[in-house]
Amino acid sequence: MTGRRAYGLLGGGAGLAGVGLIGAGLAFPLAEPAMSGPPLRPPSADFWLGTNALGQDLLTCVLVAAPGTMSLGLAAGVATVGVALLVAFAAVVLPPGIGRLILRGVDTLMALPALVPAMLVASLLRPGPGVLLLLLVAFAWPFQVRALAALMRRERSRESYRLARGFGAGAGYLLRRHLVPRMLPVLVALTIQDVRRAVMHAAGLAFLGLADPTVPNWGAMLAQALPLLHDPSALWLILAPAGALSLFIFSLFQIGLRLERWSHHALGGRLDPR
Amino acid sequence: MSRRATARSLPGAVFGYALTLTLLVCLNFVALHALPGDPLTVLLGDATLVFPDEALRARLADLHGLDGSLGERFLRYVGRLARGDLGWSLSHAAPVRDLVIQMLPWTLALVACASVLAFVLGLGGGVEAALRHGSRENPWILATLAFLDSIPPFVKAILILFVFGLWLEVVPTAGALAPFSDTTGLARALELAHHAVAPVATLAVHETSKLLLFARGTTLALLSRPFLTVAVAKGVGPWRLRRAYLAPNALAAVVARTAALMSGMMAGAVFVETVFAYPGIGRLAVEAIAVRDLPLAQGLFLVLGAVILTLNLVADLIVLRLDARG
Repeated sequence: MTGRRAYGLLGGGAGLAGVGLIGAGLAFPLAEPAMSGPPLRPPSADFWLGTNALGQDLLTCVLVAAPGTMSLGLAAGVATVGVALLVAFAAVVLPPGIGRLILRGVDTLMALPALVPAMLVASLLRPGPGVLLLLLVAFAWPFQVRALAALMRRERSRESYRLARGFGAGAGYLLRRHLVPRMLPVLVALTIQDVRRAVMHAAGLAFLGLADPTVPNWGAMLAQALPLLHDPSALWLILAPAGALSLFIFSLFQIGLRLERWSHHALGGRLDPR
Repeated sequence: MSRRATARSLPGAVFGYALTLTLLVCLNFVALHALPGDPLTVLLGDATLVFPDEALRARLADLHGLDGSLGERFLRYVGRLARGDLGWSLSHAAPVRDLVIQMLPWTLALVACASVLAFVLGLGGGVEAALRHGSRENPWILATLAFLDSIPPFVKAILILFVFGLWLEVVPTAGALAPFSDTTGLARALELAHHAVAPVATLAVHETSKLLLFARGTTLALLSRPFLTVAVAKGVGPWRLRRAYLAPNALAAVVARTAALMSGMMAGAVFVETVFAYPGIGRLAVEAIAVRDLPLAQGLFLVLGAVILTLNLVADLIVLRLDARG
């Protein structure tokens, strides 16, 4: 039990640190580190993670790229689930014919592989954060609509929902007060899943050189390290951004598990017996 | 779990396929024309060092199908695609189609090998992991899978390249063959296999973790079914239990995930080919982007999307056939 609690504290701590980092990064943007150090130095007391080919401190580079990568992922994840929620709501409350049409359209969009059309559009645009966010959301939302629509149909058959409708509650009120709160655990799980996917895709696009190169990103750092593969410095040039990226996505997974359990519990759900 | 809704009938599957393919083609066209500025300038961008005069401009516009009104351009674009003309590559000075024909087999072979591997490992591993549910190693299995799933494909590729290619030096670090190789027969096959091991393994590992978790969930649901209780009570041996009871029943659910698998594999191939400098349309596309050869990149992404859609259609038809058998 104590082990699990420690683990939980660790997860919560990582989450808080992440949120703090995003906040701090957006409030006080770090400047691009100066190109004044000795190039390609291994980690030392002066440069904790070593330096890159331009003599920049890698730790600073990783930190500079953190708030952008994280907040882009969070925004894309939340927006994806938001769009999917609205479309699912429309499919459920509109007349059955239109609802079916919406779901058929969603099926068609789902057959589009998410990353490849994004690469296609990005190859023309070299998108900055704003456009990248739109791209990530545009090709991700169809995947969540069916699950959300199915859940909404179940929630809609509840007495409380029917009663509220009988008293003349509007669509917005029903969505806000009757559907979203009951679906919270699922929404949290889907959001985290989408945040992870968005972070991976954004880093992937940056790695391929398909994002705005002036916006620091861990994926772009890896792309810069790859040509130096045969140099001994590649070890820390690769491990720093790779570790940051993987650990962030992994901690998102852990935070998601915890949030999901917490919201399930908060709704009066049975705690997982295990 | 969001499961991809499979079409219920053959015409439905083919109709959906045609619709999505049309959508992809339109997207390709619109993406170029929605940009501010003349499409020809966007397309050629940095590739033109001198500002072309009117005659050259007209020739280039004709070559890339960019003269006439918007409607005419679209019709010409679709007409060219229908004839198999994917555009003209600036950096290779060759039709995109020829490059695709040259490179596509490599990508398909890579994805096919990795898919088979991921399928077998995912199904087998999922059944094994489900049988260990509630045991002491269960949390470790899950944590390992979650961590593997958290490493983006290009990071996996770089790490594998680093450890097995540079540090242990057991696999080559680039290419599908040694430079200027003139081996034949069995030696050539071995050389090809040796170069393909790392890219295939990277792709397979990436998709295995997802399939494994899925197969595990399906098997867990199966384990609570009465027929399995009976089977265990009857004294069915552990090997027979896995082979004749669990794996075949988990198979259908895993096959239904094939569409997502293919999608992930093809997108992953872009990264894996880039990192391992392996020939294929993914690396060709990335190189095209690096030198701003946009007609080539556009043609390749269109082919990549079309290949995924076609593989999905095939998967749909297989699932339909499995369903028809009951």
